[in-house]
Amino acid sequence: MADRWLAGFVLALSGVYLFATSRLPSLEIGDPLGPKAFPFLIGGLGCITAAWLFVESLHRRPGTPAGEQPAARHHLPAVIAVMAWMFVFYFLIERLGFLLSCALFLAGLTAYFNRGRWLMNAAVYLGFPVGVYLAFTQILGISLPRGVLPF
Amino acid sequence: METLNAILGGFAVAAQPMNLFFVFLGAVMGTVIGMLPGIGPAAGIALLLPVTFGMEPVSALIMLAGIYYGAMYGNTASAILINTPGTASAAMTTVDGYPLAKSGRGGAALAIAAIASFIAGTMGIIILSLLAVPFATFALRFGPAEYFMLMAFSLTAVSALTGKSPAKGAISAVLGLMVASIGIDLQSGQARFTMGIPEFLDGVGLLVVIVGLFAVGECLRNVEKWFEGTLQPIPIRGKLWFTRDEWNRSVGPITRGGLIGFAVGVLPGAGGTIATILAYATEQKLSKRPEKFGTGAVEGVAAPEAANNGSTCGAFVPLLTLGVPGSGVTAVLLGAFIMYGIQPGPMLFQNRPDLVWGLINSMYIGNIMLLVLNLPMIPLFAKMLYAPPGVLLAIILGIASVGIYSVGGSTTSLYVLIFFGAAGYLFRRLEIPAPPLILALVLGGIMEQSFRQAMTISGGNPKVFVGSTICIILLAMIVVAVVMPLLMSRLRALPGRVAARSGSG
Amino acid sequence: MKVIQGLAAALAAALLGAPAAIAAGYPERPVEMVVAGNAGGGLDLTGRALETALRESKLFPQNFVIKNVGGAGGNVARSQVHQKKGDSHMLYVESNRIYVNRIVGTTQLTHNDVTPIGRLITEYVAWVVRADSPYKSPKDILDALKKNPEAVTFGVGTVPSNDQMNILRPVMASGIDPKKIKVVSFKSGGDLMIQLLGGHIPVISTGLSEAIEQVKAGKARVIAVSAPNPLPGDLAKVPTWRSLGIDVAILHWRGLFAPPGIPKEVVAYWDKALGQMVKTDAWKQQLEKHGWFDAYADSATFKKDLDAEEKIYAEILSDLGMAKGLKK
Repeated sequence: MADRWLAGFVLALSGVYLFATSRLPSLEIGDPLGPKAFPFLIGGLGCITAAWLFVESLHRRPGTPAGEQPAARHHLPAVIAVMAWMFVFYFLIERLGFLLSCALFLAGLTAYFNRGRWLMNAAVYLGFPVGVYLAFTQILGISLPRGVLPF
Repeated sequence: METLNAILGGFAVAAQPMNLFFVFLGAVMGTVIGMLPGIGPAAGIALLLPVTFGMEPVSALIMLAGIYYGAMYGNTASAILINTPGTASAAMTTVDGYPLAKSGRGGAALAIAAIASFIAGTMGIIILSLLAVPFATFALRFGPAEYFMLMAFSLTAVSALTGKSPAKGAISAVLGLMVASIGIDLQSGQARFTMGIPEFLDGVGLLVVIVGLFAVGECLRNVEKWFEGTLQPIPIRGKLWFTRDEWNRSVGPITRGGLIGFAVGVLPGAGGTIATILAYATEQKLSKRPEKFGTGAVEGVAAPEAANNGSTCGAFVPLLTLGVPGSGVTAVLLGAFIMYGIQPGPMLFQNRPDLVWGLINSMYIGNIMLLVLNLPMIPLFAKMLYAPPGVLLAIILGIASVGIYSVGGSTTSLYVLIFFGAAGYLFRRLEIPAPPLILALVLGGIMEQSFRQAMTISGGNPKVFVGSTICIILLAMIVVAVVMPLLMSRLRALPGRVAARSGSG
Repeated sequence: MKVIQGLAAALAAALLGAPAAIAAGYPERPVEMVVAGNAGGGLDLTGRALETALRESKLFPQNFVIKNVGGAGGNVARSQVHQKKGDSHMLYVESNRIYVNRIVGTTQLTHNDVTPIGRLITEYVAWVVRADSPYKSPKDILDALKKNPEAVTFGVGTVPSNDQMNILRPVMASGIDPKKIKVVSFKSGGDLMIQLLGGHIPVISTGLSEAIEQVKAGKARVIAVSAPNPLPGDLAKVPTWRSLGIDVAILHWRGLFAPPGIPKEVVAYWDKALGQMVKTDAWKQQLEKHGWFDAYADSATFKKDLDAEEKIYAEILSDLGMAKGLKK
């Protein structure tokens, strides 16, 4: 079933892509093919692969599960929460600076996923940002955002 | 005789204590740059350029070159251990390297990679010393039509990467082509599908896509596994080093991979990533057990690792013999030459033999240093997998984030990273293979541009694609690559059918 | 690493110590120089040459912090500079993309949204053919194009660019329809030169400095150059468009800008400082080393030239339908 949804999604995406392609401006100059020819081809291929997958899913014997066990579906909120947590990190990276935002990010993750081992976690969320910061700024000469800290 | 003197003179230059120190420094920095996803050798060298002002040009170039090939050693570790290629050219290494690590053979994969890098690197330098000029002539024969055919041939490698469902492999490739079409179209100068994001004018960064699909996607999937209680540290199985059998299976791939890597590296614009793809696909096609590829075949690590080291040596051919850069890294090196007041050009070998041979010969020394440097780190790295999964997860996300931030220097690329991370997660849930997407992303742009270049030059005549010997050879290779698997499966089915027919008759 | 940094720091300290501030109150602190391209590229080399010359000639009492902001054809750097309104301690190195990008519609910002400080250097663009090419003069090519505009294919790095203008403008001046001309882009200068040397493309339009080593090695010939006047030295023999009776001259310049809204005194300060610098040996050495030509223009002249160039570009690109940014 999941495969048919996927086929539908790819078809829809290809449709959007083809529409966007049709809106690209044409030029008077340049090569005879122009900037639109390949995208049209790609969009067309997208539709074909979607159909292909649909046919493939019909041939699959019923009972063979497509994809992994659906039981894991309950954990989708956790996955979204981790992505949101990444977003918070990235939002703060230039505002708070790399050291603080990264420490916060890692502290949050380890506190949840490595529960109870306070000492080890502290070593990670303090050691990693400092180590990376020193490596980047001192050895590689790449600047990372300083933010509110004076160094 | 004169050349021989020049070569020996080059060794004298390379062996000066100061230059040995700079080889070492370059190798170490290259390893570090390679290991961290994000900053690749091109950006790394560019960043270090200002620091080299005031150094002897030879020493500076020796160090910068060390960063280049050093990165090809460094990019392996994170690819194998945490499914995160340090640079784009290690993307193929993850395909078999990570499954090997998951099955407890991470140490063996790392060791094979280091040895493959060393052998291919050294082979590459020897070829560079002896055959630079013929290879430069070879590079000159590649016009747009030849490039198109080469890319088309590379695309046949998709079938090597599809996994269980060919349709899903094809979908992955099409999505890669779509991503590849984002950015300014070279021929018309028009922006396509940039969605109003200025960073997308340059196209979507290959590395953001790779790190998102592989590293972040894997982490998000692991979050789920953590809740399911199936996320466990990986134990090491067997010995840390590779077995005799693993070695025997790797010798061929290393040699062929190194040669393929060198030849592709010579071609401007093709680059290390395509070299690794071709080497991998070649080995899969030649292998007696192709079904093992993608599930943890040691050959699948040896071939691309050899190829990306071979390609770095190849990339020096156009720079040193023609004075034109053939890759992002050598373009930066060309800038370095000019900064030091050296005019790179066709006369460089005659005008500055000390510099050219000093640089080339330092690479032998650098490769030995890198091998010695990398081997002791293997047990250390392999132990990393013992870390509690929760900690590993946090650190991988941390490394991925800082790496991507350091490339673009803006948070835009980080938000793009989350997007591709989510895609990577969905790919895993829906069992869509990610490597075809990467392959299509690498090939898509060059394929389109070279096709249009060729068609414009020929005035719209498609005969241009069979207009040269190289084109025809590549066409033949494409036909073989497409037809062979079909033929093989027919042949395999044949005895069964014959038996069935005789039974009924 | 520490060793080198120490060395560099010591070197910088030794070279920077001396001169006192020329104008009262400016510069108070180090100046950030935003270079709109990656390290090792043309813009970066220009920025660093400027830094070196000012340091060696002791004309500027502070040092520079060079920041490379490549990306999006310079648009990322431009928006950063644009946001630093009134910041006198920031400079910005850019090429003619400063007005081209708005014409093609990848950004809204032009040279009017920053402060032009001065045109620093220029390169010239040349038509280059292989040594064994049948084309001895650009006239041969233009004559062939008059009969059939598709007779000859040109290679360039990117479009739109001065490489491209150096084809279209002489072609238009010869009364040929520019829309019919076949121009193929190859991503980088390196690829382009290999395509020429490999015989895959008959003529390329590229920076003179990129072709010069190939010419010296006898592998290529320069048949026309976009300079307004005949070049000095060995290159005197290369015909300019004007010497061929075609009224085209293209400066492939790189210039210095500052954020918008900086005090007039700071602009005047730089007019004076740069006016002095371009006469120094330190600067001339830099030009020599990189194969650049002096094209200094002070802030007022520079601004005027920018407006004029923008107009020419806008006309041609509109003609070709590439001026997406102007239709809005």
